[in-house]
Amino acid sequence: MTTPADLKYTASHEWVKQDADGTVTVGITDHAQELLGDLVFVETPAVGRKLKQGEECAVVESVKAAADVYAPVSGVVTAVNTELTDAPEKINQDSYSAWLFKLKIDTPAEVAALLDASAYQAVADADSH
Amino acid sequence: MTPAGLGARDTLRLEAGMNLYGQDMDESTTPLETGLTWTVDMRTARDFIGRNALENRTSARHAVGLVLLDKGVMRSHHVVNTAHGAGEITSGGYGPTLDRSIALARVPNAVQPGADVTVDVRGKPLRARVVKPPFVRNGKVRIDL
Repeated sequence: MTTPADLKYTASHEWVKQDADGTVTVGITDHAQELLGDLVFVETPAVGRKLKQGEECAVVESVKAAADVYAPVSGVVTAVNTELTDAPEKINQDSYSAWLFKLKIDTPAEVAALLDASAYQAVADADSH
Repeated sequence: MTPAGLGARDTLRLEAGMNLYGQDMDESTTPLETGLTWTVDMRTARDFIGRNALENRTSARHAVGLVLLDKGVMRSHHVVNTAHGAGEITSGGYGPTLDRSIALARVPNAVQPGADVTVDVRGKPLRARVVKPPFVRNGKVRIDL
């Protein structure tokens, strides 16, 4: 399990990368993809959709289970990773480069309040299966 | 000894069109409803325990296979909407040989292989086609996609 130090995280296993222009990129963590197993289907939110922090906005589905992905912060969806429609397994291969969607955020304080790498590592370690 | 995943076992038996006890069949279902009439000799005069009961029983539903045409994964208990009424997925999942979602379902008798139906997957009606299982045997795809 890897947990890059330069990202922020949620307790529900999303990672957040802050981009220069007030947008963030969101994906699911290595720990999450390991728990899910081989992904076979990914559903991303519509571009332009307004999301509230914590709102269900995407679905990742593996052979064994479907899991909801929650908006880590509030904002508007500006882009989605269309490669995942035909190749959901990219998330298993590298969950930190196979991003799900990008958000233009409205409340920077929400990003600052997210978990850092070591706090997330503690969440993942406690989440033993 | 090598660990073997239950997920692998499940996709293997699902592609082979084999029932899982407790899910596709149980004490409340008959061979007529679960795709098992090939195991029951109703044609010769031979008597067997339960023959009389089976002959006096009719069923409004029978078992079929489903292949999902849209993207997604069908799961147990998802509702199947057909031209002849509603049915239900008994076992669903992802079939790696076909690279699609496949399922076994109990649907009204009039629904036959070749029919187009929709499956309610988490609130969305996805398109599926009725097929006769098995989906795959001996590594070869046995249904028309």
